[in-house]
Amino acid sequence: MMKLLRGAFSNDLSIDLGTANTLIYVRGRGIVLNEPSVVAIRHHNGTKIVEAVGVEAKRMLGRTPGNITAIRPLKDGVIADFQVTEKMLQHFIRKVHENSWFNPSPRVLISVPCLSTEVEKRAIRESALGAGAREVRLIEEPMAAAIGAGLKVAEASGSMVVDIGGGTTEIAVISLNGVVYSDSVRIGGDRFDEAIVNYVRRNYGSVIGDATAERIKQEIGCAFAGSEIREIDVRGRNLAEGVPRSFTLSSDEVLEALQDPLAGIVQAVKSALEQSPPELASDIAESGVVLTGGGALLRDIDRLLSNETGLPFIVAEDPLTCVARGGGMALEMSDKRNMDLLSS
Amino acid sequence: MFSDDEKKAADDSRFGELSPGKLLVWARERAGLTQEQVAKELYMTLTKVRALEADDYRHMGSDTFTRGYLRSYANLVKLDVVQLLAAYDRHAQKHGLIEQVMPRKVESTSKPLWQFVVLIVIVLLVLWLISVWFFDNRKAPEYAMPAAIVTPIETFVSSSASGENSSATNSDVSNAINSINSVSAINNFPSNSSTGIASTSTPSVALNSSVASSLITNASASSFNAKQEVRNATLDQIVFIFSEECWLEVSDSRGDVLVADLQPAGGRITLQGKAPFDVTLGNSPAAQIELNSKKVTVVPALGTNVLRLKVGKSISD
Repeated sequence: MMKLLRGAFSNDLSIDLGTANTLIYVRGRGIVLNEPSVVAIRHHNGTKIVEAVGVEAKRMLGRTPGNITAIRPLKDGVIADFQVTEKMLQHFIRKVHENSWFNPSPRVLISVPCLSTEVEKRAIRESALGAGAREVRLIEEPMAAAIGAGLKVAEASGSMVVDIGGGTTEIAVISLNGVVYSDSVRIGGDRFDEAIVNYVRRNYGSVIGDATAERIKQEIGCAFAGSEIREIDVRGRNLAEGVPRSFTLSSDEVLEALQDPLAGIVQAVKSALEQSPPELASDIAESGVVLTGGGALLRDIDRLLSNETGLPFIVAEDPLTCVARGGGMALEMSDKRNMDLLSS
Repeated sequence: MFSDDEKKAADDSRFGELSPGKLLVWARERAGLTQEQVAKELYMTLTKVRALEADDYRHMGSDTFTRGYLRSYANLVKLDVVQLLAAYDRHAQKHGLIEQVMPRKVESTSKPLWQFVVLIVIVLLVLWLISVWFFDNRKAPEYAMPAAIVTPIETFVSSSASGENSSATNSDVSNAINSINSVSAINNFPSNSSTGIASTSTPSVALNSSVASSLITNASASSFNAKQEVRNATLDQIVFIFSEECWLEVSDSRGDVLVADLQPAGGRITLQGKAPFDVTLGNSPAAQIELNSKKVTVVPALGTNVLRLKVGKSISD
């Protein structure tokens, strides 16, 4: 009864619970939250207290004292730490409703990787319920991404979407409001960062943190050999001398570092094209493939994929928020037109 | 192809006044590319490249693809993507090409007024329900005195006040006071009220003050006794005798819990209340029950020693 009453004072939410970032779309208001999926926990007399969540916690990553741990509760697109995920969701839901008169109890739609298991789906559903949601629905990430990117998913023509997230890359062929083929590979932004860290250690004998690797990727990272050359000054701890040293990285070096994860994504896309029914493959060849997710912001990744497959690849507008926006639109479509776009 | 003025306009802030197709053509020629080369670089069909340059967006599929092609084309020919897309937006609005505008901006959350109004309404509703419940359950105290019982007091007071019987004897006064006491005992009147009546009558009766005070003292004592007698007379008595330790819980018809405790072996307990009594008796074979000095025979249900029963009928019924 109280939950229903509180629900009347809550908005419907679409949550893109990503490995790197969590985005919340509120019905009728758009994206209202975009924060890193990071939680800082303070250990005090054997108890764990949430110290910070989101942007504030991300600033603490790699800079915490002994009694504080900054962790990312999601790994490879699925929940790695159930309780911390619940706390994080609770914090974000309250933040979205901070001006509400009641404790929020919203209807929530969460996007999940298309190949996630029942156990993983249940973990996400229960963590959202534990965070105060009154009703939890799930949608497959590529479907949400396609809707958010503005593709005509209801039409009888094939659309292909590649969503490069923090933990996974989701590839799906969609037609008539359904997923015809989908695949998920555990390669994403985190693997790019990891590859850059390994490259720097191997070639410069220096250790850099994940945050620095991410900055390198965002500023000079590129995926195609013909791109404009850029450079960045980086400071890392020299392994031999044990003291911080500065060195300059070029975008060509970053490209070399990213070869392995990029090859994995290219392979998965080629495999999806091979598996697509001929009619849909023809539609895809005609219109092209849409790239969404934070990984789509890697410079010239569309050129790389076009070059490898011979098809036009386009980056969706505002690719980071496509999944969250698509989830919100799917919620509205399923309510208004009684369309079944949701997963189980 | 383009006049000098047009090129100047494109380079200047008037850049956006051209249609997106014309901008693409201008940028492609500036880059020295042909339509075929653009199609090959972007992995698009030549038809689509020509359609883009002719501002014909009917066969592009959704708006997402059109914008994507324009972005890719702009990047290839080193054209400002933002200005090209702004030109496309103007063109699309002018020709009604945009189907839907998706909300993207991050909005500040504001406190909606309707929530406040609903909250106020709920609070008022709850207050109204509480007041309804409170006033429905409230019973007015019954101070009304039965006419038949009031009469003797009035008789006594009026006869005293008239002064006709100023030499009233002690027995007359005590009779009168006894009748007052009986009234107060029956109606649960405070004992000082009867005293007050006696005091009021005193000056008019003109009694000796010592006699009067002794009468009042006697009246108070007899008032308590009379009260007890009246109460005892209307209450039922239930007696329990225990041969072994038993749990006993008894409440009377008014809902008063008379006892709820473990009773020792060999114990005896006498309770007064208004029958019928609700009795819960553990280890019932070890207990005897008497209601108003009459033995009550009870048989416990098979398989249990715990007895739950209603005993008796009120003697006042």
